[in-house]
Order: sequence, then structure tokens, then C-alpha cells
Amino acid sequence: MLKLSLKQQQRVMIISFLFIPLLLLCVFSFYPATQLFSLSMTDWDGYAEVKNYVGFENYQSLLDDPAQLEPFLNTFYYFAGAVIQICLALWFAILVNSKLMGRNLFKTLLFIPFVLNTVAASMVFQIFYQVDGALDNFLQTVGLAGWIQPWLQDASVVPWALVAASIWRYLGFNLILFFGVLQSIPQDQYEAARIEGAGEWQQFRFITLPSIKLVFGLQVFLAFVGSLSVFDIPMIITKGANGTKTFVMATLETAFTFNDFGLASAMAVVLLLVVIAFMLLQRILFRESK
Amino acid sequence: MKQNNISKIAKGVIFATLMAAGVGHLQAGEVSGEITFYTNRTDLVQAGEFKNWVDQFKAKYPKVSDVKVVGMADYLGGLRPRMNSGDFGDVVLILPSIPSTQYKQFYEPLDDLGYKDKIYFPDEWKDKSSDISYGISSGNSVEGLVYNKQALAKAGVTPPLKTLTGMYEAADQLKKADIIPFYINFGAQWPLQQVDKLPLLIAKDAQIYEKMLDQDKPFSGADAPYRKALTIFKTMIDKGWTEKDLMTNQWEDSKARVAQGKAAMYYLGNWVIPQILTTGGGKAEDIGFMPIPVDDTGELKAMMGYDFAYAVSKFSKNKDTAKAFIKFMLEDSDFADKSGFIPTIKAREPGLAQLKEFMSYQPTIIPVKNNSPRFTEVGNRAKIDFYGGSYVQSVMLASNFEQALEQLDSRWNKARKRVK
Repeated sequence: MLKLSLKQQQRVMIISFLFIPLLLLCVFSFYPATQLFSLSMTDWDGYAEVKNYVGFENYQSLLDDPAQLEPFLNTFYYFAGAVIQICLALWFAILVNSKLMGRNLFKTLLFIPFVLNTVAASMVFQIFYQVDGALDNFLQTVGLAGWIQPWLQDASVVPWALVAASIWRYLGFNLILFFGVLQSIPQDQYEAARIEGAGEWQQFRFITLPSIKLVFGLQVFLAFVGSLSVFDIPMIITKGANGTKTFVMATLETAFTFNDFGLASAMAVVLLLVVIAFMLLQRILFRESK
Repeated sequence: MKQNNISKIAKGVIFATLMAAGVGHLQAGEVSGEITFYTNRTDLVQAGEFKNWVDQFKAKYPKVSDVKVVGMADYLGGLRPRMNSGDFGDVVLILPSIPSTQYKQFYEPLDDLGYKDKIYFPDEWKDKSSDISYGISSGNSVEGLVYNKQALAKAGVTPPLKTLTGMYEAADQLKKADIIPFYINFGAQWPLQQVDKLPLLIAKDAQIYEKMLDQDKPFSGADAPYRKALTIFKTMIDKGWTEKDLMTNQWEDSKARVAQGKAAMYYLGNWVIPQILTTGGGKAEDIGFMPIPVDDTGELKAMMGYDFAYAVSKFSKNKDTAKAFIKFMLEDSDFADKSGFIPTIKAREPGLAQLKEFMSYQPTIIPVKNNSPRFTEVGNRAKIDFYGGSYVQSVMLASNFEQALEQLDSRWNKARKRVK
């Protein structure tokens, strides 16, 4: 066998273990990304053998026709919902972290929606929101029939209906993240604070919040990216009708229904740029506070 | 030593067989081997119909080892990614979104089947530049109002409906009798493609779509056939003559409703009638079929269209077998009857009773014409999904109908300029 020093052996081990994951990363992430950039400069229709280079024409047409960027507006609904979602998750996490009776049961119940299959859950929500569906029947049973609306048909109600479905689904994920972080806060800090005479709110503000700042920042970032790329919930429940089309849905439609892979790739690149811009913004904001 | 001799003989036999098979294949074009057929008819696959046809096919050509029939619930979505890989079966259905200029890349010419003027729609899947045909329709339908006789009788409506005003009055009477007049399946989205079929009837011209390429206001023009088509559906929705829940996909349920008479009419093609009878559990004598009136002239017109077209993959390893299978499905199998289609081969009579009733009203039959590649591309660039239903949903739900029509026109015109 080769006589390798310990350091060289370590190097060989590291390289050989990293080789396959890196290979997969390059093949399934980096290569498609470069193809995305190059496709966005063509007018490929998905079938032709030849791809014609058209420069920045696709990006130009996105700017020329602002209506194409309309699906971006739906992002704000989902982001607002995500903010509510994070606050709710933090509140539930604190409750579940305390000495509440049955806290393990609640933790499980809140987390289960996240593990459910998205498609199945969305189909159930579609039935839930139907005219004379589960929600309408429930409201009638408890005597709140006056609250019944055309949940999916009224253009001003439908975004909130979909956002509610999204909150139900992803709350568990945020909850578990917060719960993990809360568990890692040493309890003696709270003891010391209580001895000093700090109230619940002060304990929360001065001990809990600073400790979870990093995870909080991560959640906000994930929430933003998530609200930009919502797809499965509106696709299954309304198929994007009634103004519920999101940006990713529009991109997929452009590619596969309208055979315009060039424009769809350009839209995907725009999405990527928006996410990068937000990430930089978040870096700056959260660096400063440290 | 013994083994050596046996293995030599064995090798010799194998070699000779392969030679013979190879030579035989080239000389006689024997129908043998295994082929795969990707179909959209998951209902027929599940009902076991395809197994019967495959067995009959194998009985006719004993050398065929197997025909794998794979059903895809979302055919357009499922087959599309496969097209680029070259692995999409041996017999396949042509995707409507592929431009005819690309047919030669994916499919085999089918002119050698010798059908030229014996079939309906012989020219629809031709590459215009070479005049070679790559596809044959699997079945054809006429479009009109499929209705429940009991439901109409209950509301005091007598078929046939000859004028648009008459149809609106009938809808009103049906609504008063607590029956859904038209089930348009708004939530399923794809049935809204019917709106795209009305302009052909309104203008009585199959070339109406190509003419749109030269018009500034094909949607919002005062006399534009598309305006009239969209207005008919908008009237139905606004007057509450459709199903109450527009947003949810209840396609399968709707068949049962029409079968039971809770919904009166469908504007679809004869292909839906067998589905109403089997899935919906209706009785054949309760279902009728008549042309849809689109104006007040009293003249009835009907569009005849084709369903998916059979094609043979260019990358198939058993092209002769694939072609033989297509021939079998068209000439020998009862696929057309089981689907309620008009058989592609003109000599075969359609088996559906409701078609006889339809023809008895003597409508002028207008065969549909394939859209030009330019029309498809302009539609794509304008993001108007003709025969898709998504843009119809947007127009119907828009707060301002006029504005929605004008927006369609502005997108159409921008796309026209971009695609020469």
C-alpha cells in the first residue's frame, strides 16, 4: 500500500467522500442552472433542433408587458400569511415549551399537516372550500351561516382562502424549528431573571428574542422564498383561475402550455435575481444588529 | 468434448435463426415482436377493453409477443417530457402542441398504409412542405348539445332547439324547474375549449381562425365571431344557467348529474355519450343529441372534429408491427363504437344511436381544419391557450367583460407583430 502521511490520508478520505455528492450537485444543480441562463437567451419552443440566440429579448418583453409580472403580486398575500404563520408558530412554540398539560399531543397535532402529502391536502382543501362544502356546512351547524362566502369564487376572498391553507400546512415546520431553538436556551437565565423580578413579557423580550434571532432570520428568509415560489396549493385548488396564479405557475405555463422555453427560462432567472437581492438585503440588516 | 460439439451446434442454430429472422424481416416485413402504445384512454384500459383488442391483435398476428398499452391520465403533461428523449413508445398519439414542421423529427410517414381518400381528415397531419402524412385520426366527433330527454320534458322544452333565443328561453324554463340548464364544467378548465369551437359555427367557416391573423380586433370587434362565442357563455354564467359551483372540478360527477336529469344539457361531442352511460349510469333512451344553435337564423350547423391521431414513433424498433396495430385499431377493433366516435374509415357506419338522431335534424356539417403553425405560435406568444380553457376562465371572471376582450386583442396584436 502507498505510504501516506496522516494528513494525506485525511485528504484522500475527504475527497473520495465528497466526490459523489459534488458530482450529483454539479449534474443536477449547477449544470441545469447554466442551461437556464443560456436558454433564457434563446427563443426555443421545446421541440426545434436549433435554438436561436436572441440576446436579452425575453427580458425586454417581460419589462414591456408588465401584466406578465402580475403573478408577482400574489407573493405579497402569501408573505403576509407567512408573517402571521411565524408569529403563530413562535407563540405555539413557547406554549409547547412550557409546562402546559398535553403539550406533546399539541406538538404532534400541529406538526402533522406538514408531513401530509401536499397534493392530497390541497385536494381536501378544495372540497373544504366548495360551495356547500365542509366549511359552509360547519358554519351552518354552529349558526354562523351569515359568514358563508363564495370562498373560491370571490376574487377578494380567494387569495386569503389559499393563504389560510398554506398557513395550516407549514405552521408545523416553523413550530418545530422554534421549539428546537427554545429548548437550547439555558433555563438558568430565566431563573435569574425571575429572581430579579422580571415579568413574562420582559423575559420574552430580553432573553428569548435575542437567542432565537438567527433562526427567526432564517424563517423570514425561507418564508419569503416560499411565498415567491408557491405552486402546489393554488394549482390544485383553483388551477390559477381568478387571479390566483403565482409566478412559478406562470413560468411553468409559459414553458409547457405555450411552448416558450426561452421566456420561461428568463422568468426563472428573474425569480433567482429577486431571491438573491432579498438575501443580500437580509445579510445587511441582520449583520448590523449584531 | 461432447459439450463442445453441442455448444457448436447450438451456436450454429442460433446464428442461422438470427440470419433468417433478419432476412425475413427485411423481405416480408413480418409483424412480430413487442410494441408499446401510450394512450390517453385510461378508462378503456381499466375497463379491460384494450386487453380484448390486444388479444384479438395477437390472434391475427401470432408472431407478436406483446402489445403493452400504457394509459396516462394527463396525456399532454405526461407525454410531453418524453418527446425529447426519443422514448415515447412505438404507437403514440400526436400532441396538438407540436408544430407540423416538426413531425418528421418524431414520427414515421404513414402514407404506405394506403388510406388516402378512404378516411376522414386525411390531410390534417401532413408536413406541408413535403406533403407526407404522419398521423391518422383515431376517431371523429360532431359537437352539439347532449341532453337528458326527461329533464327537457319536465321543463316543457321540446327538442330540437333551433334558435339562440329559443335556447335561452329553454334555459330559463329549466332553471324554473330547478334543473341545471347547462353544465359547462368551468372548474375542470379543459371543457371550456368548447368556446373555441363556436366561432367556426357562428361564421360558418373553418378558416375563421386563420383569418384572425389578419384582423386587428378578432375578439372585441362588434361583429367578431369570438365576441359572440364568449358572450354566449358569459350570458349562461351571468343568468345562473350553469352549475352553481364554478371553481371546483366535478367532471366525473357531472356525468352522473346529466344521466340522472339533474343537469339538462352539455355542449360537448358524441364521445361523451358512452361516458355518461357507463360512468354516469344513464340509460341510452334518456340521452339525446342535437346541434347547438348559435344565432336566430334557424339554420343548424355542426362542427365535425377529430380526436387524437395515431402515429408511429420514428425511434420505434418495430415499425411494421406498430403500423399493423394502427391498421387493426382502425379497421377491425370496435374502439370507435366503444368511444362513441364516428369511425375514421368512411366505409364503417357509426354505431351510436344518438348520432342518428343528431343527423336527422340535418345540420350543415363543417369539418374542422388544422391550425397553421403561425396561428399556433401567435397564440402561444399572446398567451392565449386556444382549446385549453385558461384564458376563457380569466375572461369570464373578469370584472369588466369589454376590457377583458380588448386586452385579448392587444396581446394578439403584439404577438402578431412579433411572429412573422
